[in-house]
Amino acid sequence: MTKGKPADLQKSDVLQGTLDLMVLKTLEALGPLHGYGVARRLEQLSEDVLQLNEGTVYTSLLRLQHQGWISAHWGTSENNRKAKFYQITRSGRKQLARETASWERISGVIGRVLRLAGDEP
Amino acid sequence: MIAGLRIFAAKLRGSVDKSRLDGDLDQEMREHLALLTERFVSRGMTPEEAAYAARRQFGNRLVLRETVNEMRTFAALERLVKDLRYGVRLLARNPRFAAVAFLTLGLGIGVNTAIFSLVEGLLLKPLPYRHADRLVVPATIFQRFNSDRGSVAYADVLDWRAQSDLFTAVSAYSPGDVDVTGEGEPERVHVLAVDADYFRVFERSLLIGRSFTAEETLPGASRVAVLSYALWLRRYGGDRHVLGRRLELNGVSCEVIGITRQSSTWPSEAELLVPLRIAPLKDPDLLRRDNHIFQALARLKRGVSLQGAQARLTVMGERIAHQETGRAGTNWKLHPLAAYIIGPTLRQTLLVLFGAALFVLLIACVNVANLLLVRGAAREKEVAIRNALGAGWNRLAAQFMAESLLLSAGGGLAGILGGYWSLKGLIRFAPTDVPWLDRVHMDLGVMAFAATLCLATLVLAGVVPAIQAARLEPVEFLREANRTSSGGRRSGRLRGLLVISELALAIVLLTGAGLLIRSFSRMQRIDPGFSTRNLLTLQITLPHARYGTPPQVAAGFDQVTSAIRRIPGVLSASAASSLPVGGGGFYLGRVFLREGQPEPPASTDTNAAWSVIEPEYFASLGIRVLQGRRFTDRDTQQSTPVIIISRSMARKMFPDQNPLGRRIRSWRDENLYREIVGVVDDLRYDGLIQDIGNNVYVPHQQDTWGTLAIVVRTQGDPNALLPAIRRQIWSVDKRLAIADVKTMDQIVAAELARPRFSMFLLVIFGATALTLAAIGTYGVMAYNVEQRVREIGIRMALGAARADVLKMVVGGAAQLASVGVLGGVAGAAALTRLMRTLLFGVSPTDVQTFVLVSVLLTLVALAASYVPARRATRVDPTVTLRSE
Repeated sequence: MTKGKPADLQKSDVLQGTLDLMVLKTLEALGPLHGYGVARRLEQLSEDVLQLNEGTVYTSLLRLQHQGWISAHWGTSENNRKAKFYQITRSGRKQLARETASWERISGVIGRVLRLAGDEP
Repeated sequence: MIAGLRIFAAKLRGSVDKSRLDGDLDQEMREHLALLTERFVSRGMTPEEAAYAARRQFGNRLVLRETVNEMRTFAALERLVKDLRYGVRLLARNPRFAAVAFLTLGLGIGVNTAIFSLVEGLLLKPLPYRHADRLVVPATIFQRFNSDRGSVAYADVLDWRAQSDLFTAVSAYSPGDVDVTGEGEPERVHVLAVDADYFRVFERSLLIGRSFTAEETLPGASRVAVLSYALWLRRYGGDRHVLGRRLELNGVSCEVIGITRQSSTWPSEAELLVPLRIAPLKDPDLLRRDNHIFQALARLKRGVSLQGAQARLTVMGERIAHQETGRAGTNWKLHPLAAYIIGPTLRQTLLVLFGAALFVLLIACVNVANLLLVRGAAREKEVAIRNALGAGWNRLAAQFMAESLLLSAGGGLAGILGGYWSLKGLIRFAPTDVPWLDRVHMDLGVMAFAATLCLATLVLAGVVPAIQAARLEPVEFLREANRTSSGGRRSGRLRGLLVISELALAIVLLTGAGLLIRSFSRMQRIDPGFSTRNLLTLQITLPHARYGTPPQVAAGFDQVTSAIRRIPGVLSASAASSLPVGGGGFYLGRVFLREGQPEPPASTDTNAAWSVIEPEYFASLGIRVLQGRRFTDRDTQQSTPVIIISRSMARKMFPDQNPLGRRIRSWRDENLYREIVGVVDDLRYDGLIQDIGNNVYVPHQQDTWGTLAIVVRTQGDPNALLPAIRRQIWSVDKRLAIADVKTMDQIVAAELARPRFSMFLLVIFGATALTLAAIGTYGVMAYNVEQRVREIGIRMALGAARADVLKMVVGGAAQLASVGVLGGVAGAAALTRLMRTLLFGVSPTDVQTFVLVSVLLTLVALAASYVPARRATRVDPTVTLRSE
């Protein structure tokens, strides 16, 4: 009946699409990974610019799974424990290509606009 | 779209496999935290610090689990189920509340379901005929008789048929009864004499055999008949070799040439179809425009609107009214067949009842809303605490709605069950002349309607209390809790509003019921003009084959009535072409001129109902002869033509003169001067509640008819003599069929059956409304008193007398009641206009009824508040003040 999300997740709504894109890219670049691995990679790449609750990685993974862009299977982690591994699918790669292209286009435009604005004294 | 489907499938999987997936997630989270902790430990933290830091970096696991769960399953649905379960527990804990709510809603929904079944079956369902929406009944409008359903002239039918761009077929027919003899038992059946267009109107082929050829519809052709499906089953057991067999219809042998398909033609009560056998083109009398002796049926061409066809006919009719004599004040009306069958009065009755039923439901909803409000108020603490613990108001409202959903679903179930039984009762006790009760069922349409009502009750009864209860801010609750002495002002006002609307609704319903009661008692007091007790009537036809000449017919009826008179216990027996108060048979509507009066348009003729009677008729009915004499056996074909006229007729034609000895003629028909030999009291021939018209009577010996109604006045119960009467009739001619055996009391009762039925239903609705309104008022007043116990205690401590407290509480109720009554009276004044056609001798704004109902409802409201008021006076100030 009611629709609503706990408050702390709502704040990352802006980032949701971006987070999904980053997770997808991570999986494409590094191959099958578990959630912890994805979180580590994101941490490493974002160089502490991006503060995020690592738990949100799992919601992102679930969303991507629902879209059919990644698949999951159980495997064994580095320290020999059971862990779930995520892997990009073929449609996921296509989606990534599309998203990357559109991201570059948009960020290009935004960058130009911002540069323009900065030129004025 | 496809993504949506994929998510739906994933959610479906998630719901089914919930526990495994939950375990998976937990496993993942544990693993993640373990790895994170190890990492922090390796950076030099103590295990405790590391575990804490890991949990912080990971975020709220509970929230994550809920979010994932939300994404993975139909969480809203799960919440609903949870809420419903909670609701069931709450209801089970308070069975009295549950019972009252279920019963109230069940009553409202049940009443509506039953009435809607009638509305659907009689007004909404399409007729069983092919493209029934294009079947129309052309009829004559007689302004003089205030009728738009009059018979039509054959010339009219020919005119319509010529409009081939409007109609695909136009049929003239003439209904009647015929005695079927020959094979099997003699019986009287309804017959239609139809022209060749009749079957074309219905566009259905026969089941077997063929319909009539054009030649067979001419006079002198060989006799043929088509049987209805029902008659074929009854008399021949559905034998397919029936074609070519012969039936005797009123003694005339006819060949069976066809069988109709089941319910493929109308009027459905006609079981036998025979050719009309007329040659209008050779018979100028048949072509006369004022010879309205046929019924018509037509089929509109595809794409032709009723309005369009009607407009054309109206223009044609106006032209004819100008050109032809005897057509002034007439025109044509096209009735859709369905509307023609049901008729405006029945339709109006059903709509009024339907409206009344909806009112009952509204009142029921208000009552339940009230109950919920009171209960919500009692749960303010629970709500406030849950709100403080973080449940959003929409979440709380959802839970309240779930409870209301339970109530309305339960009420709906109770309603459907109750409606099923009420419908059975309704059909059982419905007036027998209501057409198509066999088409009334609780079908899918009715179920859908009941479900809609449930939703409506959910919205009407549930939404306000839910919002009201859930909107409560914890802060506000605390503030209100500190002010118990004055009660929740906002919700108090809302409850007052509910009481007002409930009383107003009840007033509207009761006013409607009151008007019908008064109108019905007026009807019951109508004097039919004769004693209806111990009077038996039946119909007999002397077949032309055996009673060929007028003297034979007259002698035949004389023998029958004489034989009946010989039965011990029979006081009088006689025969007439038609019976008063709509009792059967038929009269001719004819127009009369005095001797020497110029023919119209130079003067106006007087219309009157022409009946033929045996001499003893007035004695059998017990009607006074005001002037002159009755007919005697000496009024024969050879003697002077005579006539007896009614008092109204005498007053109309001879306002200042003695009519006896004067001569009048029915100038367009018989055109023979008849001498007035008597004046009798008026009788209502058209029906009990119809206006009195002019009547004239002619001795049967001078104008013999083959079919007459027999009236028998008996000493005791006339039904007890029926076997003897049959024996005596058959002793004269054992091949006579005896039809339409009814007592005059039955005829009168049948006349009153419809008004009685609608009155009965509306009274039930009104009583229900009154009860619910009383309960509702009581509930609110009792609650108010409970809320104000402290205030009352303080007042009493400060010296208020018990009478003051009583006055305060009852006065509060009186205030509500007066507003409710005012609103109700206004509503009733606006709505009772809609039932004008159902009322007899009572104005829709009958002051007496309005005042009576208002007083009654005010008293009920005051009585309902008196009980809690008495309780208030028993408040002990010391006890209430100490409890603070």
